[in-house]
Amino acid sequence: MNEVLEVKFDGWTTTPRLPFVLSGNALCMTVPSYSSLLGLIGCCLGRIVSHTEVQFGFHYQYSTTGNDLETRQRLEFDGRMVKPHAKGTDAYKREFHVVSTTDSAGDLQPCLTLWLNRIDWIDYFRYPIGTPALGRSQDLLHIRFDSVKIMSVEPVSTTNVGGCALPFKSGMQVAGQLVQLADAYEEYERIGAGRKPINPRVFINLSHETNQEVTMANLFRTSEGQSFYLHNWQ
Amino acid sequence: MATLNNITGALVIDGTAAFLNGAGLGAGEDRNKVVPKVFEEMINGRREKVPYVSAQAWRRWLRNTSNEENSWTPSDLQAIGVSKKGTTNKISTLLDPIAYPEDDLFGYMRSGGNDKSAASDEDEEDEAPTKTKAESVQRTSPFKCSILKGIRGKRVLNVDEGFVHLKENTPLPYSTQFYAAHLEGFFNLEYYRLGQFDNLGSKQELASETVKQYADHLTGQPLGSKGTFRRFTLKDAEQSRKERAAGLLRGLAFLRGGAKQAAFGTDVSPKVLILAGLECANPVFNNLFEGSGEMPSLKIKALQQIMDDYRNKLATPVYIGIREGYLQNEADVKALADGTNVVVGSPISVAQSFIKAHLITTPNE
Repeated sequence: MNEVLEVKFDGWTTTPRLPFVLSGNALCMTVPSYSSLLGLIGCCLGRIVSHTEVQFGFHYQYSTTGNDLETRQRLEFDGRMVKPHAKGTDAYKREFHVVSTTDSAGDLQPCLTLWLNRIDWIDYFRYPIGTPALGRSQDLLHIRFDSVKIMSVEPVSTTNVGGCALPFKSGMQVAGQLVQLADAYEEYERIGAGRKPINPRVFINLSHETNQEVTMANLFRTSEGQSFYLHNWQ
Repeated sequence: MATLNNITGALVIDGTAAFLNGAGLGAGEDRNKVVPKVFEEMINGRREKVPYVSAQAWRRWLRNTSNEENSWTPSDLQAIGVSKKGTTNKISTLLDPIAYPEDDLFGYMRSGGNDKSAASDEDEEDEAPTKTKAESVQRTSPFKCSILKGIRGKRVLNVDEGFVHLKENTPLPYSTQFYAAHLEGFFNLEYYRLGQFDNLGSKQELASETVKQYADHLTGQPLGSKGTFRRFTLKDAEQSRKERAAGLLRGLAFLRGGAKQAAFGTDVSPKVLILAGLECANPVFNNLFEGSGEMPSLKIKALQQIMDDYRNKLATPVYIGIREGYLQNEADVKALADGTNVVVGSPISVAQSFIKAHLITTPNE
């Protein structure tokens, strides 16, 4: 592979939710999962995209975290009718990432860069079918029109990466957040039957603040000097 | 001409002296202070507090205003699950996007639950559990919006010191943090999805009982690579799509809502409203305002760049509604109007012009 499709997104907020925490408070991971990003790609294409169709790498960065309060309406059944709960509404805390960093002119800087091996999908990212969002529906992302371009890349064996997720192997000399996640999800064929997790395993999420040296397969460097890990689902 | 698949836009609300969305009490020992929602942004290497209104809050304002402006019957919240104690543990709207425009425009969710007793080791690996207690139904919202965020340079936090007299001569102090801010938001309505419902493996937009109930009003076609999923479309989808999108724009132009209205009386109707029909769904009108002057300004160069980049995907002119005397560079914005590519008027008049030109449903509209 010597060419990839590069796409940059900007926005104000994102919520790369840490899954399996259901205590009422929602927490964020340092970077989004490959399955969420596959969903984001599918949103741009306007259809469900299978992990077998594409390989991609990413760089994600945020500036601060915030805590949103979401109102929860409570109702109670008094034996005869359902009515609002006497104690009123309740609130959940929802952690989110603030990704709106601006330059001196006040223009937004990209928060997410994707590198895909499907250069034939260029028009879907210039003109997406669905509204891109990362996390909750309010975490809208905007694709930077000029950023959607074909970029030449060269494979490298060792490079510095950050703001991405790597499949974890014991002996890796990197620091990050360990999470057990599925690579992707696939739809069951029956309506309403849900989705099947594909290849659950441990990933190490590297924060964008730490640019760490790694030696592994599937590392690439773009002609503009940015390095990334291309996830090939294996 | 591009196809009108999406209606995308931006709005600005004048929140000078406002408390539109609360975040509870102050942190630590500061428990007699009520605070609005705020997050921190990095500006030139330092943290700056930014007041905001969460999307779920202003979507509620928009739902209510749209229902009121169009005399739509609200899709009320109802209890759909009761625990052993008799208390409600699940609620949802009426989940009927055919009868209720609110459900069609804003989506809904009802979580079901797998009947674990049905799952066994004999299940093949590729087979999903076959029995469920209740269907999970969810429609992601065709109307998607950002938070409303204080414009850079136009977001100052203040504190109002007050006293409450529970008994005579025993004044108890309390504080209310509020802001002087102009709040910007952007949105996209996936217009093409109105009146169209996909039933997939992971997302079922119409419950089986709803499909049965409205069988005469729906056409179905197979969907997915193997054709096992279904797409249902209302037979009069084109008509209802226009009516509902027009209703939403009316709600947007007259937006009402917000917390602490008795204390601050903030008018949340948009002072600037930008609308455009687009073939693609990129929410292009984000971050279009700045506040270096006395009043907010529209970044005209950025707007022109957007219009150039998306020229072949713009299905309508760009409608810019501004309240007289609100924008710092009002004269420059008005100079953009050429009648074909850019239409300038008041926020309410541009919403009406957009409806009249692109969403007309009856001769009297």
